[in-house]
This record gives sequence, C-alpha cells and structure tokens, in this order.
Amino acid sequence: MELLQRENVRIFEKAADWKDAVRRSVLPLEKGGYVTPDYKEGVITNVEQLGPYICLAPHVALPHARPEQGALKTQIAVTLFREEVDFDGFDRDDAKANLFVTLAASDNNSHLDVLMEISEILQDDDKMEQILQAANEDELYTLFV
Amino acid sequence: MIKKVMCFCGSGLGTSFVMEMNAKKALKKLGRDDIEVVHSTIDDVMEGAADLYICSQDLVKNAEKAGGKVIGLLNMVNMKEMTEKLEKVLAEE
Repeated sequence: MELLQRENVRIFEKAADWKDAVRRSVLPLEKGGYVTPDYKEGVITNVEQLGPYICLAPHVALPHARPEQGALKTQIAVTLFREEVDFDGFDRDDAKANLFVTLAASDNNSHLDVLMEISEILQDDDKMEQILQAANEDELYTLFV
Repeated sequence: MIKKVMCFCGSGLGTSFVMEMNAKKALKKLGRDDIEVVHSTIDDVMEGAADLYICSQDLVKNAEKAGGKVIGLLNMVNMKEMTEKLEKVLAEE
C-alpha cells in the first residue's frame, strides 16, 4: 500500500472510550495536514447519528467522514489498540474494534484503490492475525505496505 | 425483479464502496452480474432509488423507509455473509 506513511501507524494499549479511540486514530492525519481539526468530530457525529457503521468487520473499524467534513488530502492512518474498544451505547453488541484504519478522502474517488487493498487485507485471516499481534509499530507498518 | 442494488453507508465513500465491490463479486459468483450495483450515501436512499439496498445492520431501518428489499450485514467484508444473503433474496423473486 503506497499511500500509508510510517508516521501514521500507531499502537496504543487502550483508549478511554470509542470517542477517544476515534480522536486518536484521526490525530496523525490532522498533524500531517490531511484533515482539518473538525474531521474527528465529524466522524464522531456521524456515528452518534447513524450508529457504529464504521465497524466494518470483527476487530476492525474504518473511521471516516465525508470530504466536506474536513478531508483535505486523501490519506490513511493505521492505529492498533491492544485492548478492544467497545462502541457502547448502541443497539449492536458486536461493535468492537482493535484496529482502526482511518480514512481521509478529499473527493469521492481518489481513495478507492486503497480501500480495495484494505478490503483484501481484512479478508485474509492469517494476515489479520499477524496485524492484531504485531509486536511494534514498524512491524505493523510492514504488514500493510 | 431486482435490477439495481444500492450499497450505502453514512458517508457514501468507505463502507459502502467495500460493500459494492463484494456485492459485485458475489453476484458474479451467483451468475447474476446483469444486476447493477452502486454505492452511495444514506441521503440518496429514497423511494425508487434501487430495488435492493445493502447496508450495515444499524442502518436497515433507514432503507426500510424507502421501500424495496434490504440486506443488513454484520460483517461488511465477509464474502460468505454477502453471498448467502444475496442468494436468499434472489431466490425469493
């Protein structure tokens, strides 16, 4: 995956709650100038209004919002929380995630190739196991590129 | 008769696109690649927009309001779930 930058790959032990996890998962993109500071709140607002639809698969969330909610340049960030983050307060028990693949898309098309690659990785059970068990950020980065 | 499938999510560019790719793959496998598949945002879900809607489980109620059939997915990247649920809906035709 060419798009992913090493500095946008982070590992944390845990998050205080799902909002904290979303904010932390968006932060590398904010620091890098790929999204505005409003973007993370856009992601949170969308989830509050519509439910945890960003929980894509077991262990995996894909935080993202619309281009007009503050995405400046297309980019992704990968954040792993060792302790599962529970999207609580919603009518859905399986909304839990360790791996946050955060997406900024500046228009409706530029990110589709990278999403296709992400989707392939998520369907590869062996690779997912390695990703969730990654010893450090360098190893996690290598598993994605 | 299902001619058009719309995969949608809250923003119309992440989750919905992954579902669209997998729905296309599943329909091909089921020998129904004559069916058109698009992805969009929840705002485009309205009466007549599609014959079948695919979304995450939490958004099913939004699609039901628009009429048409709805598939709610628990795992948006799982091909097995997508294929089985599409097969079931198509068999009901």
